[in-house]
Amino acid sequence: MNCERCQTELEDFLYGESSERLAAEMRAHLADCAECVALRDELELENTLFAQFYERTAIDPTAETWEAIRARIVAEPARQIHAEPKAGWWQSLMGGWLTPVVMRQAALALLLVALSVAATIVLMKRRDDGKNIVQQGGKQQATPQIPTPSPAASPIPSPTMDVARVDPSAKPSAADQSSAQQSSAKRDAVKAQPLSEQELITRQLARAEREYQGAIKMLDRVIAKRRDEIQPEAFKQYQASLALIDSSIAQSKRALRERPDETSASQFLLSAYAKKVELMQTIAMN
Amino acid sequence: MAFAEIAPGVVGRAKSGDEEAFHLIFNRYGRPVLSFINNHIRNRELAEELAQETFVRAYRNLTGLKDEMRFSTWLFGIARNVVRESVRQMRKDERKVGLDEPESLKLESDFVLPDGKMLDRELTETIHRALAELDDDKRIVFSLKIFHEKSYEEISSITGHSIGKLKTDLHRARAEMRKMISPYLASEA
Repeated sequence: MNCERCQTELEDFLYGESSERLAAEMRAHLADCAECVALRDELELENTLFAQFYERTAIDPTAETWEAIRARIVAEPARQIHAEPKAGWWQSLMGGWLTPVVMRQAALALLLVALSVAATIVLMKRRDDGKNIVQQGGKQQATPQIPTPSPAASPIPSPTMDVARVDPSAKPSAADQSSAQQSSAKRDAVKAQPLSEQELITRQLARAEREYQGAIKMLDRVIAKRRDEIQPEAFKQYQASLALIDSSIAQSKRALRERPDETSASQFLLSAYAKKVELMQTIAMN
Repeated sequence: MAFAEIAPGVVGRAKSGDEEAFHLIFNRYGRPVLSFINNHIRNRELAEELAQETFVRAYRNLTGLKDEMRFSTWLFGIARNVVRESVRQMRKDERKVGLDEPESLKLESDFVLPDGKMLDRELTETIHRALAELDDDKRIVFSLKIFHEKSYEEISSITGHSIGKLKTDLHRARAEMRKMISPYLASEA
């Protein structure tokens, strides 16, 4: 190998891009040529300066950059949606972006909603039974029925769980009478600690609300991912309905703040949340 | 400078929509990608935006990635396209931030060096200026080869240029850079 060839190949040799055979020839030439060694040293010095430059000037992304990326990828439409014919809501989640972890979280959130709402309703019913009995001087009277979610039904309480649908003239059923008797038996305890029961209801209501909000957040993510697949008109209607329900939620909350012991306001609030979840499920499904 | 590829399993998980796996990818490649972009744009804020766009596009197109072992090459290809589009747009808008306007060199003062490192600081600024004066093709091949230690084959995949062109561009880029930094080479030697 002569100097001209060596100097032509020197850069690639230093990058490690030369073939084994050529590299061996280069090494042999460099072992005997001071001129080419000087050039090699110069290139190596340059490389060192460039490496130092990179180390000094390389920048780490800020946490905000990741958050912005995360927000955008969360809003991305679900993957693999086009692979199969239109599947159901749950199947879409299974086959799409939902990982088993998120799926478990979603199921847990919905289950917690059901449990929280059921517990709240039972507590409110118990208090109302107690109130009615006290107010009627022990006379049995029809107690406004607060629907309890059926374990066989959807974990989300039905939107029909609305006080407007309760018939006040309905005669008490055997179950109601039994319930009233049980409540009567507990009356003394209720009277002894009336505030703690109210507190319990408030706490339980807050918990149910939190669980609803968790489910809503999750559904919101699903809908955001599917945003591009939803017809613009349908999405517009969905947003309008959502705004109405949110307004109902806000009104119920306001009413509850003013009269925390008002059962109907609690019922309206839970009913509005149930409607919101149902609406969001419908959009997420279709 | 150079970095090992992330485990293909992580890329596979990210492909299936695992956000946590994608976060690992971001942690692994955020710095080289952002630095690569910043070396071309020389505007930290815009570079962060373009890095963001790069990772979002990567996420969006992950399912199309055939060879997970070549993830970083693929990612740099996206970054390069994002930079190119941005530069085109800037030129179109006649704003040209960070490429042609000498005023943009003021950004170099963002780099904080220890006291008594005036020479280093000057050298850093000189290299920045020399990089800015390279044309786009030369700057990209120089950056990918010298700073990110990519092979010609990888750079060819990233840029779409032939290896012959890459070698020529790199050789010329080095010659132009050498002219600018030669006074410092003498002092270092």
